[in-house]
Amino acid sequence: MEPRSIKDLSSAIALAVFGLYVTIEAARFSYLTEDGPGPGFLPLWLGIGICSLSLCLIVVNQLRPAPKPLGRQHNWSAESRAMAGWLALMGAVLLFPFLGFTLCLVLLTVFLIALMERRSIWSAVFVALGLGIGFHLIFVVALGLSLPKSSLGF
Amino acid sequence: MERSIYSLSAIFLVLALAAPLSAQSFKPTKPIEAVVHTGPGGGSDIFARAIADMMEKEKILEQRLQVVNKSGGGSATAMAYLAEKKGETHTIGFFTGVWVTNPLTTMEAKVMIKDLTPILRLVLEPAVVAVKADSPYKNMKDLIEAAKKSPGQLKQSGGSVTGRDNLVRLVIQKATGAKWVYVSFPSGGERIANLLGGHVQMMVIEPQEAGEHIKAGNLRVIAALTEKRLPAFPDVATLKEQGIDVPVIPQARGVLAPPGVPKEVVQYWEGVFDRFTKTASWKKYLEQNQFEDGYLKGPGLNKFFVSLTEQMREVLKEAGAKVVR
Amino acid sequence: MTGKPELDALNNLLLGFSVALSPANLFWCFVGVFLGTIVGILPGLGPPATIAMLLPLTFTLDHTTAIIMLAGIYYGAKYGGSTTSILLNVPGESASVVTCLDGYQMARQGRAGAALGIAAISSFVAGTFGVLGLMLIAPPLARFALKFAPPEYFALMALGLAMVVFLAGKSMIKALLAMFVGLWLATVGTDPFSAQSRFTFGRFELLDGIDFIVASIGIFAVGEVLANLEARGGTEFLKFSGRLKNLLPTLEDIKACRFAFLNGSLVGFIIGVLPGAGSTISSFISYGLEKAVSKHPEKFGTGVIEGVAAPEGANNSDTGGSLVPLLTLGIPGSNTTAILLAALILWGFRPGPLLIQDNPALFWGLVASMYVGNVMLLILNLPLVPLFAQILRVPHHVLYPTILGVSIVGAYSVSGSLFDVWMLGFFGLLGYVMRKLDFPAAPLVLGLVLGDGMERALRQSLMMSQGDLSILVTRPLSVTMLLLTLVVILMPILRKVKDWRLKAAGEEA
Repeated sequence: MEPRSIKDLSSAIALAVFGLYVTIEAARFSYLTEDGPGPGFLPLWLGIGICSLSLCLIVVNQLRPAPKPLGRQHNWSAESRAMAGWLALMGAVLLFPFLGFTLCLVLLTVFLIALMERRSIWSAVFVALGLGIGFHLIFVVALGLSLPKSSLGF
Repeated sequence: MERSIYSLSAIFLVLALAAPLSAQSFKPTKPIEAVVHTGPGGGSDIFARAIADMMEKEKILEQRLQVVNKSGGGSATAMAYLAEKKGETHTIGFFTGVWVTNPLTTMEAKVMIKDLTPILRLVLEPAVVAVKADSPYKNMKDLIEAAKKSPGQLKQSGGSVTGRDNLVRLVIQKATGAKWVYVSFPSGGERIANLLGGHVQMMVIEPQEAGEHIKAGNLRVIAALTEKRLPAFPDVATLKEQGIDVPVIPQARGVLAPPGVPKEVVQYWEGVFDRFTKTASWKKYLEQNQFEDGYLKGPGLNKFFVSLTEQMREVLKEAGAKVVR
Repeated sequence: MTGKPELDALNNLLLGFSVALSPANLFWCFVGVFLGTIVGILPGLGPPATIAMLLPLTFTLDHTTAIIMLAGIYYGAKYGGSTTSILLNVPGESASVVTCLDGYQMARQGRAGAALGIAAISSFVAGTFGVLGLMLIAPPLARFALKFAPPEYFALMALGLAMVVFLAGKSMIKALLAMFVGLWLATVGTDPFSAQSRFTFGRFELLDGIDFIVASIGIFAVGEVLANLEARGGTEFLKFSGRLKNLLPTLEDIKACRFAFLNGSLVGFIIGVLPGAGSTISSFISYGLEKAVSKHPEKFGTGVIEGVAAPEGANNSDTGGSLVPLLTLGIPGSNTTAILLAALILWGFRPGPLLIQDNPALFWGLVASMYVGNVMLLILNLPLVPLFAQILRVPHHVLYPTILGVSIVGAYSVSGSLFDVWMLGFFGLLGYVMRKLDFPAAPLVLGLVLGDGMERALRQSLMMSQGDLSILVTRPLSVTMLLLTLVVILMPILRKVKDWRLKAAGEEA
């Protein structure tokens, strides 16, 4: 039998809260209209379903045997690296209207390579420039897609 | 005294000469962006592309008309896009009735026609009421009677509940006291399929869509939703002729520009479309698609929009739809 | 047309081939297939967008040639979509999402070539089947399709959602939760029946709902990149084996996929005929069916080749299927066929019941060129498979930014709005979190895709019956599908009971 998992417990609680939100919002819409189910019908049942399922998950989780104590704290370094990458992505998107797609991609690539992979800054810049030029040539020039531009025209 | 008259006339002469010169002061210098609110293949997209094609063939426009699809939220995305392009002289938009009704019912659609610069109305798309060819309903009377006998049993397939199909149903229901169900399908294909499959009994359809099915003997047209009978269906009576006195709800198509566009640009477009609507290609296009020539510009156009908005507001309110503006 | 129908069909096909095999048409078909594949590889640019983009190229061509080229583009784009699904876990279009499940796992095990190859072969087999079906049974099939009313669509969607049973993995509860979240995501936007907006948080960009491509690219591709950022460039997880065995499917592989070919062909074609039922649902159902009849169902999701063959076949034979209502009734069966319809109208054709009679050369030329297009796709792509597979040799510090870049381009190109890219980021985070918490992503995507259709069908049905629920269970077609759905849902429960009984018997002994 699998041991109890804090992951399942926390996700179940989060989902239960979410389900509650959906149910409350759904109650604002009409459940039934004269023409049949209204806009609130499905969201209400979905909210109820999510709440019930999360409760099931909590119950099933608690019924499992207790986990063996680990004896050491969980090292969050892996997750923080992933989150740093995500924040970098969000930052790049934020800068699109100002710096344009190509530049932002270059910057994002430099960040990801240099900081994540701990390679030399020069190889990071080299790869980033290559990617930037490649993307620009393929998507903007060859295919004519209109990607966000900076004031520099690319 | 004489001198002042001379100088006055001189001034008038100069002004008179200068006026047309300034009117001709706008000429597009790069391709024109033509914004439509549908995706590729949608009604407005086809309309705009056809016009762009014809303009090239007839050499009416020096620059190319480039169709740009800004679909989303009915017309909300397209209208928001145009509103942002304040003063942009090389952008126009192709509007339809949705551009008027969408902001009335949708909170998020903040831009209204009055926030943009109407240029002119080009066509009025007529519609007809169609039933399956082997159905027992030969005219509107049959349909209305059957609906009255069994209220809520008859069904009509159509698009969104705020679209013309449903609005027509609502005004007819109000005028005749009959009641029937409206079933909404997102795609035209499904609407026709359900009619042909006998799951619904009627639909409101544009004549050129119905044309092929009528020729194949699958559908029958029982009423024309227009002021006068349609040339392609001379035997089909209008609603008014059949005793149902309801206002005709027009599906108009035309051109408008972003806000803050100078008068010369509007005049330029009026001139372009003046010439365009006189060409043979355009006349043939109107005939092929069975459009009514709805050419209207200037103050008449503004009055049209104001009265249409009011009419839509009323009809929607009576329909029980939430009118937010 | 007089005489025996078989002779007529043969005559027409010969006419069609004489049209399709003309040098000009062959050339443009090839160009279409080639361009379609290239553009289809880009995520977010599925067949509809590809055709719209390349439509201007056809303006100078003869109409029959032009539509042959468009059909080539359609096929090419469909195949291109599978390539990124398998190599990068980026679904190229909605119907390729299911291919990601086993295809990407195969790539990770070094069998990318086999996966790509079987996708090409299965697409060929199923596509040919679809064309045969179009040719031989189009009119009666179209009449059958007309019998489908909202209650039948509801039953179909229910059957599709029941496929969650096959996507569940270890925890059924988590799979259901993911599916419910997906269903909720589907409710975001304007409710078509009441014109009210649900869960749009005041943003007009959300009025049309959450774009499926943006969500799936976010969850699959961006989520995957984020998950891989955790390990510091250490383990080489993308194995690449240069041995020929892994560059193409082996004979055993092909034998194992015998049923999958049939499965994909049939399911895809039949569902493709129904206007409004997309190829996404057919790929999910054929995947579920394949898993249901497999001797090793628990291996699905870890890189089983039939798990690639079935959905790939389904989303190709539905091409032929969706052309059935278009050409026989003038009703487009899907987004792409709607654009083909628009193109035909633009050229002055009137697709409808009379199109075949009035323009036999156009119709049969198109059908014949679809055979040709299928063959071209196979010939063009099989040799390229080892080349595509080389992509996996790219070191990941170059690969991740590329995937991110491609994902952003894909998301942005959906409607040219930066909002979609923000959504991409949001879904990327969601995908990463789901991965960490062991929630399966496929059920969420399933819910998102089918939720809208199911709700619509339910409400349409109840509108038609004025609130009478019995409409859902009194019609033969829908009852059959609902019973099937019930069987599918009960299967895991029955299996658990069987396991219990076996365990109990084993303990007694």
